[in-house]
Amino acid sequence: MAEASLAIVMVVALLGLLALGLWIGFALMGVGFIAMTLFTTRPVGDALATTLWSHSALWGLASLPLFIWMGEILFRSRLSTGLFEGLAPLTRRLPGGLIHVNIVGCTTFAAISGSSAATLATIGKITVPELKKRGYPDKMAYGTLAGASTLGLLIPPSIIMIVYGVTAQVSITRLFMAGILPGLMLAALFVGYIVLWGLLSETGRSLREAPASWGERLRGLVKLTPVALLVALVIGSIYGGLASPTEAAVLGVAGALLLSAIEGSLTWKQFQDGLMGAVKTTSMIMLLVMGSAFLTLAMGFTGLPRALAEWIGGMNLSPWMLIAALTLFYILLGLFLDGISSIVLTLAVVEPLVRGAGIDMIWFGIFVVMVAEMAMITPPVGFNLFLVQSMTGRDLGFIARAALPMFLLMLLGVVILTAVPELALWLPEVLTRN
Amino acid sequence: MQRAIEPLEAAIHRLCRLCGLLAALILLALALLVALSIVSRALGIYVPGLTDYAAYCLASAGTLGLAYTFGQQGHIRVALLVDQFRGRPRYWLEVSILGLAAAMAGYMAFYLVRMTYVSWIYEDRSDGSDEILIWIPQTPFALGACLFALVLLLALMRALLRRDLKGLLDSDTREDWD
Repeated sequence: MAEASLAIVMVVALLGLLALGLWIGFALMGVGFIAMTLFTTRPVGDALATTLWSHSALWGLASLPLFIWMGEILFRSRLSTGLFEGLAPLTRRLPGGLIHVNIVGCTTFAAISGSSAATLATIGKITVPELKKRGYPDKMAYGTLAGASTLGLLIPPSIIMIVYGVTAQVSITRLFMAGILPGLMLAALFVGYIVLWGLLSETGRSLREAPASWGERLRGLVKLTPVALLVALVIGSIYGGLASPTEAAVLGVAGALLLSAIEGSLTWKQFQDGLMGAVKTTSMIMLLVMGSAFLTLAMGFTGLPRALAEWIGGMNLSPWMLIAALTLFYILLGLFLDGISSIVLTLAVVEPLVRGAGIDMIWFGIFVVMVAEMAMITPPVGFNLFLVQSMTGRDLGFIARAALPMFLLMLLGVVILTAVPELALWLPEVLTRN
Repeated sequence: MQRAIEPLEAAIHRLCRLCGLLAALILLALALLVALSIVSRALGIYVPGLTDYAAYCLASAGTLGLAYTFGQQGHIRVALLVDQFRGRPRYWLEVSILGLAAAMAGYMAFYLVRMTYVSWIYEDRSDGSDEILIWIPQTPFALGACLFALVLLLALMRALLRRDLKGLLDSDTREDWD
């Protein structure tokens, strides 16, 4: 079994390079390099150059920096204050009170932002101090924030779906259509959990807010109009078939700039900071995308993904068992990696396997994004935990424990998604029919 | 030798800023090109190649921003194991990783320049509706990789001369852009 020993060499090389602390993009490139030198006589360097070029200069990927930029602009605007003041009168009467603003706020912001980091930072900067001031327990406030902000990945627009779409070569528009219902389902699960907490726990029952008057609610709705307009502009134009994701992203950037200009928070400094933030995140992700593209090419030469797919296929696993195994696998990866990294790291090998098992690649995209969300809140490496930590100063263990119920709810979400695949597949079918 | 440190730091700083500035300008160009494609389509005018130009912008902004992102400690990695080390072992570990990264960036840059050179010699054209000579957009793409390799090399020299890890760890990355 020469193939098996070479596979082991590559897995060891990958783990070694990653553990050393080499940038993930370069670790992928390095393993690709080893694989190509071992398996082919083709010139590696030239193959590397053409692959990097053809996988960077992509129209579909052009939406990536734009959605990142849009998030950066909105994070620096006063949008989060408006969101809080608008949502508070609408949700505070529910059992669990203002904790719901974390969920509804993140869900709403996720619909105009492509990343969970931007969602967490924007919603957290207003809800963390406000909930603290009103005596809500840290455990609930921080746990729900860390969990709900991961919806930034699942609810379109989504950076991670763009990366998945170009890597697995499926339509980004369809992925964006498929993500919203599973995203709302997760949000509903979170809301349900908070309602139960508000009804059943001692602290929860003691924290009942006064109902808002109709006037307050109406003023709240007015404060939500800018956000609603942005959502309609970005998601509406994609769902209505009026714009491609890249075009919708530019509309979003224009809308975000206009919004900050109207509310007076758009200074030259803000503009520069936002743009430079976008440059930084874009290049970080581009290095990952480039590394992954080269690794995929190199893996194709080795024949390993095909061998693995045949081996798994020969085991005659039921789809449920395959999905269960993959869920476990991605949760384990997620302990040490963030979502985008674990997707670009594995897709070269997992994609043929999943296609071979007859699983729809759009559905699999939603599945993998949901598992990636869980990776954001699992220690020792969970980016949302880090963000909440730097925002609140509480230690990682506390935040991780606080976010554990959210993790379990997401696991439940994965089970529901597997049992009812139409949750993801129905909307793209309806919207693209005609 | 110690006298070389200051100009070295200034060079790294300037190069990172330059790369960031170029990447930001290209990102703006990308946004304008996409906006132009929306407007032209709304007016019913067909401008060939706009989507291809936007894609080239993304590629170039991507590589040109690499050095800037490095300066901001923005590239992600698994730091779990490395963080267990302190003092000298940590220093040598970080320096070896940086050396490996610099070598890889140099390799990547060399072959991207070669690809661009070959496109130039053979006057290759794009397959898209823009039909542009492909070495033109490949040049800034390759340039970004070269500057990245250069900055990594300079950072390696700095770390070796200074005998510490200044500028390599998540410390102060805030920067004023005025």
